[in-house]
Amino acid sequence: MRLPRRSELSDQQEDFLMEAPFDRPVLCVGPPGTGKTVLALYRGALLNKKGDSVDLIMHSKLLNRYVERSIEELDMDIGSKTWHSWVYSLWGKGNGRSKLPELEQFLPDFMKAVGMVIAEKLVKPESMYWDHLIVDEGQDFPKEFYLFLTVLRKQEKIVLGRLPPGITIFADENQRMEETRNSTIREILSYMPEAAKYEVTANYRNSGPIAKLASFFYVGMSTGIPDTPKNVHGLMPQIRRFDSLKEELQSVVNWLHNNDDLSVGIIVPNRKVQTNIISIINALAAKIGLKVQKYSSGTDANTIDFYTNRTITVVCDKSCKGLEFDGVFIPQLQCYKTDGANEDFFKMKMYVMVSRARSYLQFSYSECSEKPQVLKMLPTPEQEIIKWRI
Amino acid sequence: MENIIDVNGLQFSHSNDRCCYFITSQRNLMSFLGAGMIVPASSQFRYKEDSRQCFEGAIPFWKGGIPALKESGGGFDKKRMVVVEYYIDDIKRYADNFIVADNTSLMIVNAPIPLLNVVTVYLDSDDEITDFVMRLPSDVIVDPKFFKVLPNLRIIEEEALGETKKVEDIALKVSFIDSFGGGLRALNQLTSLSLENVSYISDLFLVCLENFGYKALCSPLSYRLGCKTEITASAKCIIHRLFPILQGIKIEEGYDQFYILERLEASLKEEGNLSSEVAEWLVYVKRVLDTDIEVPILSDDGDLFKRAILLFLLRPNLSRLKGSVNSSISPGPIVLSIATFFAGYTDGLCRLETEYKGYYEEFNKFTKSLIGSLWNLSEVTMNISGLPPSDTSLSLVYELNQQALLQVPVQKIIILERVLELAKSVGCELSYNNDMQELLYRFNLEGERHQIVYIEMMNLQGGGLDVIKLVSPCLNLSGSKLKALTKNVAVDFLKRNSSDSMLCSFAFNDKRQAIVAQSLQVVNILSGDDFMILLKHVAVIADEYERDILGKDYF
Repeated sequence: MRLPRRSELSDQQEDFLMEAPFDRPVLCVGPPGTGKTVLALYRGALLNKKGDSVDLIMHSKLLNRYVERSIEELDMDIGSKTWHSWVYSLWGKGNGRSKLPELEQFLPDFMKAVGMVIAEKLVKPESMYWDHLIVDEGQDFPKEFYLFLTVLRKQEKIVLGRLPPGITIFADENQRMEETRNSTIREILSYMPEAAKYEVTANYRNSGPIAKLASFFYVGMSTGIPDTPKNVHGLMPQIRRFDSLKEELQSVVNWLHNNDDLSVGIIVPNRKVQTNIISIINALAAKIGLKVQKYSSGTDANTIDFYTNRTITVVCDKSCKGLEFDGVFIPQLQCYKTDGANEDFFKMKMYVMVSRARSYLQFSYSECSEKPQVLKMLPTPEQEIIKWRI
Repeated sequence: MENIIDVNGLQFSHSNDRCCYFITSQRNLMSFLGAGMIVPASSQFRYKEDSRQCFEGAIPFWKGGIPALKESGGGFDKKRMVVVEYYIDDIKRYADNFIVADNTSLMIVNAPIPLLNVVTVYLDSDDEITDFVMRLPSDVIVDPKFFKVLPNLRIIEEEALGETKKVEDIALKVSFIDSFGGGLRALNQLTSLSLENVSYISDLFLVCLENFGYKALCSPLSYRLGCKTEITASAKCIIHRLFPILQGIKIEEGYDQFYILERLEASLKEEGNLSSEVAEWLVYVKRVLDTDIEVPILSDDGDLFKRAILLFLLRPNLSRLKGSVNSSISPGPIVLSIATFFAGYTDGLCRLETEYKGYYEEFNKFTKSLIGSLWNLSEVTMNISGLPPSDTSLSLVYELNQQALLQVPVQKIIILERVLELAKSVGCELSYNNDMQELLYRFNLEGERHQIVYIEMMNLQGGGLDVIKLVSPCLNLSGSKLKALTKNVAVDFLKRNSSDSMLCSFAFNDKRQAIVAQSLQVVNILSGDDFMILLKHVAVIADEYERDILGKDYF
């Protein structure tokens, strides 16, 4: 992991990094894949340079694991936590044994907490000060959390003549994890009216051709998908037919052998296929010293190694959200079933899988007498979005 | 002239008649710092409107002050305004024939101006300086000592421009300087590559310069290098087509190997230059990129330039190339360094990573020399000079039009220099064969016999040992003479190798197409006396074979 150099930043990202103020809250909004987490780390590095102590919080444990490792590699002085851990720890600093009010277990009652702050019922309010808080996945936090932060940063007994604690929030309301306990951009702004708002809309994760294919499958609101930059080159995704699963997997091994400084993910439709693939690819990979690991949503995030080169991660489609790889292989297309009724569902699934790939994407199938049903759902050769090598 | 900046409330009084001032913004300043030069708008990476907007992109330098400007235009933000101060004479020197207009208050310039000549860069306040410097990405290198708070500069009167020249589009010329500079800076990493042979570098530079239309020559006074690595005709043909493609790439827009390859093929076909050899090579490269076949190990063998192009296509940027050393490709140092030049050329100076730029002053001295050697010239003479060797290194300095641009350490020559000194310490003068990069000594032996011994360098395999090979030929096997190496003859050599009195061994030497007596020695632990004993031993063993078996004195 390294921070991007200038030419790797979009104009909007550069606007944010060069101009977003430090003396008032900042909100950066953008759809998935627009580089918000990278900007969060970059902002953290700037704040470090400025001499501020930085806390970076997020909702998902998986993202937290990813970010922790990046912070380590970048040798940054940033505390990375899940939001639960940060909120309960902050409250503990100011209130000792007096517990943070809760609506239910591990769900803070921020309105009650705000009432206590305003009523000056904190035991050690000055201990609840922080230098700068960066919130990633800000849409996944309850809206009252932002009111809580605003109230804290305006309490004289907390600030004690220092600069008000800083806040930078990154959010995308299209990615809300739950229907209720989350925040819209409008709600965040309503609780932090003085926040400076920035937008990032250009696709940062995927190469041009992959972004183009992803948008082919996208069926949500237009605000939920990043803009595909014009004239962006890259390898066109391809679809290939092989005689056997072993040959399909050999193509994965070959690709990683030729690009052994990059990461590879194989996305599979179910655990049965996952087990089958692992049993075959292990032997192929071992021959040239490649490592294979499997990931599913139940897997402990700490046991997954996203960073070592020459590693193939085999992941079920349901668990691939939030992951990204340089090369993504989607084999065994014949195992994906679709009919007219669930077309949108299938497309969204495809969108999520396709958008995991940074620079290389290959669909494939084998061992089937008829062409897989899902081929009809893919762009035609004439559309020139995908290269048909069958 | 349009007014472009609202400076209401500022009182201008600071004045320096020898200086001139260019008004821009922090974001444009980032680009100048990244490239080491101020350039016209059309040549700039990520141009944001500034005072150049009013002059077709050419750079306006106001003399002795800045104009009293009322109307805010071009999206200028006073807080983020930047005023760059130069000496008028410096600008004139670089602008030369590229001054678009010049009157008593304003000089408009359409040329790249080195940042090294900047007197001061003024920003709005101390807070702005601190904030700007802190926010810069790492690849934008800066020396804060050039920044000062904008003083009350003298207000100068606006004046009619008078006669103006047409603003020529110089973007392509500036872009070449940027690209070539990127390639040169990327080669700065050669220090870690332990190169034994750098003869290819001069050829690479000449091809690159010729390709852009310069009449490029190597000075006859240049340090003579062994010509081990010449560009083959087919590689030259490919490289000629490759450079313009790479120059046109904007890395922020992404690019892929097939895109380069397709354009290369199209370009070769267009010229009618697609020989069957090159066509076969294109098919092979496509298959490797398509992972239809495994990527080969790209060691320093065969056509090094074609191998370097393949390596570049497989690892098309500097950070991936750097990582390729420990990959399955395992490129040789020469192949890697040529590919590194391609990657640096593609990036250009402006987009290059910090590690290749180095420190502010050194980087800006380099860009100044680069501009001095290439801007507004049609001929380039390259001269290579060798710096006096120190105990640990010998460096070659590459100059273009008398501007030193690259210093390359040559590892193995250092070893030979040491051997030369070692022999000299015991009164023996070895001869140096520059072309072959080897030493040699002619022994006069008993019975008026003669024997030549060569001292060759070995490929370094780490461990910090400098290893040489003492080689003395005794049986010529070139051409049809190879038939003389029958089974019995070979077995006889092997038997001789097992003799207790042998401190060396017989071997077939490919380079000399001969059976030789040879001995490997570690220079680091060798005394002068021991060296001479071993050198003579190798000579005597080879000569004895000639005398006893062949009955002649060939070598």
